[in-house]
Amino acid sequence: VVTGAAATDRDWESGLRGEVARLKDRATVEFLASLPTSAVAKRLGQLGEDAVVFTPGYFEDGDGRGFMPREAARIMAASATAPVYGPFSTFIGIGIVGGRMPSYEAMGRQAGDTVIKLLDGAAPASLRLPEVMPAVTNVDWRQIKRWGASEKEIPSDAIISFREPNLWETHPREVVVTVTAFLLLTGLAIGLLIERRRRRLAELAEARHRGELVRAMRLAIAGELTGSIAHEINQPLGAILNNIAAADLMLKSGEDRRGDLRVILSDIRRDNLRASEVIRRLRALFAKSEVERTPFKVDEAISEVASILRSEAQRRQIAVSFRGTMDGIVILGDRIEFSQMLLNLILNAMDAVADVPESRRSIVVSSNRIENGVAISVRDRGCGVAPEQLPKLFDSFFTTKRGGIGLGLSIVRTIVEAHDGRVWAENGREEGAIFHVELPTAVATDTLFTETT
Amino acid sequence: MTTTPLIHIVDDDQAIRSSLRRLLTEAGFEVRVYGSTGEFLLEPLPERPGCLLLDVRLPGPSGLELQAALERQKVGLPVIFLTGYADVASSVRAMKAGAVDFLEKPVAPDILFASIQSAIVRDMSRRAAQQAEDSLHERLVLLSAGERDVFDRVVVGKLNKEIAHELGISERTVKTRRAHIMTKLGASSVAELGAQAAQMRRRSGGERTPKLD
Repeated sequence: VVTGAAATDRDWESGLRGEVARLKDRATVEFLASLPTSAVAKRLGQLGEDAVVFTPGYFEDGDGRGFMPREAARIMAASATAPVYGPFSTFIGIGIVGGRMPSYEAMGRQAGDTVIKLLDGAAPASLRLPEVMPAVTNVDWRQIKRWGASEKEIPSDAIISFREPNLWETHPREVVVTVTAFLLLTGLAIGLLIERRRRRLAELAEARHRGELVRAMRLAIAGELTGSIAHEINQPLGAILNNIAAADLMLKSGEDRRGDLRVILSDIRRDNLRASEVIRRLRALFAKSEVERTPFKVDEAISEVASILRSEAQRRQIAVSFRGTMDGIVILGDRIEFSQMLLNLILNAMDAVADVPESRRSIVVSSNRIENGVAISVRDRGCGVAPEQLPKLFDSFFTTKRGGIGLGLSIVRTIVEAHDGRVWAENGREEGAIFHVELPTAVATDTLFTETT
Repeated sequence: MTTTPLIHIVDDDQAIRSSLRRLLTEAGFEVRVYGSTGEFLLEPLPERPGCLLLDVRLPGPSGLELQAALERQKVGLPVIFLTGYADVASSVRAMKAGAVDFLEKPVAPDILFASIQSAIVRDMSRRAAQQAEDSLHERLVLLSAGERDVFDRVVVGKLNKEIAHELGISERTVKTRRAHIMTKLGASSVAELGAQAAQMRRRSGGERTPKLD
């Protein structure tokens, strides 16, 4: 208990000494009375965990220095290592934890009531002031927190100061709105995530389907080209067999024909390589199944398509010419799908000229560089496309051919779009149809190739 | 007329041409090779027995088209098709048009030789028949109009009496003309006469014996 040296201080001291006698069984009481402020501060700074400080403040310390009790209490609260309590509500906010304090507000109200009654003409003698000042427990929330006091032990009627009012108390409606909005948004976000996942799975499934369909159609092309492929392989095989039979006859003749036999052997070797080259080319187009995105040279892919189709074009008696050069321009994508796309367009054009007179049975495949890409067009001299059918050409299962299933051009569009390109068709000015494909290039130059090859 | 068979090869594939030429030459045939149907048509066709080894797929007119053209021009050279891929439609068309064979490359040498042999035999007998027909035609020219009338009826098996009635001449005149016909055509019997006439009918495909211009 800290008190001072002024007369009032001493009155408080004696009052307090009387009061604390009640606590004698429950606590040790130490009076710091009429000490210099520095001594008070020092002693308060040494207090242990189980100590509490009570002070009404003082007007004068042991050194005779004058204080307002509130200021004295502030100094004590600042230096004490134990919670400080006081009797005046004016102390709240300077660092004390709180205390049972007269309510100046309640007193003011009583005084006001008394004055009103007097003004109403009541006899002063009839008015009785209360003997006990209305008192209420005041606490400083910050100090409660600081000393780790239990919130539950604060009397329910206590006035708690400096408690940050929570949002729910100040803006209940906003809180409701905000929380609701938050919940809604969270729900939405979760929903979207689930949806996204579902879509991703669907996209994966679709990509897989697309891949399967594209591969299936590749096999269909292989089927369509069977005749040409067999022809191309059987030609060198036939030559080989003829040469072997000729060599057989030479050996049976008994003459020394070593020179001729050597020529025959070299012919056989050449034809053998030719047959295996056909197989290699076909494997490159039809054997692989995984879709790859790698840089490849457009003109190489085009000339491969040209060599695959040469025999088929001859069989169908159609002139297919390739124009334009790409100068090693590189596309990023699946080379096999690219070849398939071009094969589809050219086979489509071949079908378009199948029934026209031989003089018109020609197809021109042009390739040109455009800004940031390549443009490839396949032009035939057939009967063209009915204008109302142009927009539907690339739809699945749309076909104008007898026996067509309507997937060729839809596969073309699938492949082109997978390569971030576009494809469209128009009729030629005089005859036939033109199919255009534009694909973006991976890099402007072929540096990528010079690095990797 | 030389009788050594001559084999014509039309194929656009150089490897096939040279290997076939080599093989057939070793086997004792005389061979001519052509890279296209056009090349073949530009060369005069010698009057020699032989056959044509023809590819189906060729630049320009196809082998099937050449076969049809030869048929139209009454060039009776037997055709053996040699193709890299024997699709049903082409083979049916070729065989219907009278091809000796429709072989798919690679073709075993013995099968090729057998086919060539039968083609040459066919060509030789065709040529022999042609020759006989030609000489018959030559001799028919010797007949007078009246003798020709009688000839036409004799070869379809009509009796002298009927012929006399149809032509409004005496049976005796018919007999005289028949004797002249036998002498002029060098036939020893009526049966031989009938056989010659029947052969002519078959070859011309007509119902009646061909009239001479």
